[in-house]
Amino acid sequence: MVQKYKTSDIDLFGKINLSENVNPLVKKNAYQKEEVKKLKFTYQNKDTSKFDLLENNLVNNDFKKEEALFFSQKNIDDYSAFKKMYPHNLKTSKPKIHKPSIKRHINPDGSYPKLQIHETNNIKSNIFHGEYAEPKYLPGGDKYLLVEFGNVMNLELNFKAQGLAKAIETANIKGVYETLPCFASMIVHYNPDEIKFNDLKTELAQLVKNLKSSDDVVVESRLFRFPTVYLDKWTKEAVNDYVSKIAFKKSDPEFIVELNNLDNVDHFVRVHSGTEYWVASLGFWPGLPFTMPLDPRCKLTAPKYNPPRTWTPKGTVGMGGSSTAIYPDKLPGGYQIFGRTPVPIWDPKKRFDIFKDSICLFRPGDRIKFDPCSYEEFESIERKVEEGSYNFDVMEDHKFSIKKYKKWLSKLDYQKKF
Amino acid sequence: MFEVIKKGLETSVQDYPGRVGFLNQGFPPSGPMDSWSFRLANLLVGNNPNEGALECQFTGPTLKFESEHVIAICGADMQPKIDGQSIPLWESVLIKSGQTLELNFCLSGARSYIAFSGGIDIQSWLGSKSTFHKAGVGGVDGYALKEGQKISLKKSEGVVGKRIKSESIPEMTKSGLWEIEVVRGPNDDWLDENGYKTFLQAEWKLQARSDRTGFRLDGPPLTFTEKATDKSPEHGYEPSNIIDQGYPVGGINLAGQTPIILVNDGPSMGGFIVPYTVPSASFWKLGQAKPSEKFKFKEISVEESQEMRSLQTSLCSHGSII
Repeated sequence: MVQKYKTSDIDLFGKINLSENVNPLVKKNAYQKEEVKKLKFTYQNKDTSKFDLLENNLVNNDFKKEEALFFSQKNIDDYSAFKKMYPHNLKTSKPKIHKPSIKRHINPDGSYPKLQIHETNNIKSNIFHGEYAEPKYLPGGDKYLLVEFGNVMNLELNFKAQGLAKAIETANIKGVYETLPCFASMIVHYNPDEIKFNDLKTELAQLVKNLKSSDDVVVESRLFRFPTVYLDKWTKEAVNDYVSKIAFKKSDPEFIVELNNLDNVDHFVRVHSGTEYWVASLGFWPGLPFTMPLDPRCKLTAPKYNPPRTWTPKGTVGMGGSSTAIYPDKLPGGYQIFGRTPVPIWDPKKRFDIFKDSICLFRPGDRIKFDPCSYEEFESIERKVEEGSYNFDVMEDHKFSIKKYKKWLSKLDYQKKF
Repeated sequence: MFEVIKKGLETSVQDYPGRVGFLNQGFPPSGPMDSWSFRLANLLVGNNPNEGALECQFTGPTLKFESEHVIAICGADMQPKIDGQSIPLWESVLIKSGQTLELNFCLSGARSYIAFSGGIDIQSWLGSKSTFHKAGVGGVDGYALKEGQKISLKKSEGVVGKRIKSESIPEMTKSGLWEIEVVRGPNDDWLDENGYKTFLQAEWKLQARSDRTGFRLDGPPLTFTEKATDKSPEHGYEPSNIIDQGYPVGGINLAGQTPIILVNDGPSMGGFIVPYTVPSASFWKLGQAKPSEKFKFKEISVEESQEMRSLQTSLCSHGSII
């Protein structure tokens, strides 16, 4: 038999006032605590001391809202935090917080820092922040050799890497299969049956010596314009998916805003889309361009994901370090992501004329300009791409001279706000 | 010609050394993971050692032949049978029209290679028959074999009963522990001495999340020099971040604290340091290792790694066939 409630029972429920007996603060904290436990699990106890600290704070009821963000990428990535996170690295007594800013990367005259020994005195090692006096020749197993020109990202080092790649092609060194120049380095794939590491090193050193000064170099440089939806729904979805499955992090554009002292995400969009980007190299995936901003005032920095994302939408625009890239396909990745373009950058089926010579759109030395666009424009272009009627927005007859570029740099108004 | 009855776990066409010359457009070389067994299989059926053949991973395919061919199976033992009759590894055998070749799961090793006299009759893509299935290019229509596909073979006379000298056959691990040679570099001064030592002393477990793009390893955390923790922001902020650079195939990429060995279909470029590189002569061990097996690394010099390569090349020749 089913027991039926009597009117008196219902009255009894009515007498209990839930809001009176529960301390709202305790309730809120209990909820927060629950969340913290979840985070602790996903982050595999890497920084338990911080969690303990927070839990103590919770017990003492002095929980602050800001501290809910203690797990933000900023904290993980700022210098002092990762020293704490990797306790075995606690060597220097004073933690140094290197907050990146645009100004940090350029001299007052607009030139890039070069051959400077690090200014902090308590660093014992001689780390050149710039171009090395002599390139380093480093082995990568039995058939690769990495030439490293320096440890900053600037156009001159990329010109060197590109120049050496061309010189190797012209010199036709026996046993060299191929080269892959990148921002500040270049890797050579060689056949050790035909040339030994040390002989290759000698040959390369000779070629480096004979490289023309980058000032005298003029290269063919096409300019591509890419309509791009910034702060779009697709990359947001990918980030949310990452947060729900892998690790908590701040939204990518907001995180970049915070790290680079920008006003807000709209400011970020203006800065990011305010410059042309130089295609320094193709790599990681067929056709994927690694680019850097040509206007130093638009140079932003951001860390890479740790751990990396398992998927990124096709056509996503993202950045890591100071490099911006377009994802040619749905791929895993580590860059902070914030925009999407409908224009294809690789085409194995060669549906468009522009892929006639290569299935990859870009060549090193090309330039990209991202033009913020609406969802409507995106969809209209997407349709045209599908039909095969899209016309790539490219200016083919451009040349690029580093001498003129430097001149331009010296005339820039560094006070300008984007 | 044969028809794919069961596709196996991921069976793909590969050739050796794969797609060389497109690194600067972002293409990995692809090609067989264990090129030692691969080349021997081709030699057994009278092919050029570089010819296209099938790579079977963990569980092999079932193929029904519509013409007579000499085939050879080398590498992992996937219990190969023709019409239910076991056939030997490392030996050329005849398969007749109407017969079925069946491979099962691997007893020892992880990858098995099936070579056909004359080779597989497919178009090369960017100079190679190798499949890069993550990008859907090369091989048969860009991907691993699918059930119901019919694949043409070229005609050629092979000789049945050719075998490999026992001293030329790579020896699989019995203990589940592989000793793998590594060369230090290219980023040879980012870990501190203790970090490099830890790397060599530890036993690293191969994670299940490993495939033809990368082998992820579990092991102790590594320690860094100041170069890794004090650097310009464009490197990225983690100690293992570096300004994006080209990666050698075999490079052991340190992503955060997870070493990932970049193998045949791996990325050509990226922003993590590469403290050690597995030389080409040790790649067959990676190809034959199963998830949860252990790796112990042994540092050798560039010269030693190049000698190992020459020795392996000399073993992958007609001299190894009896």
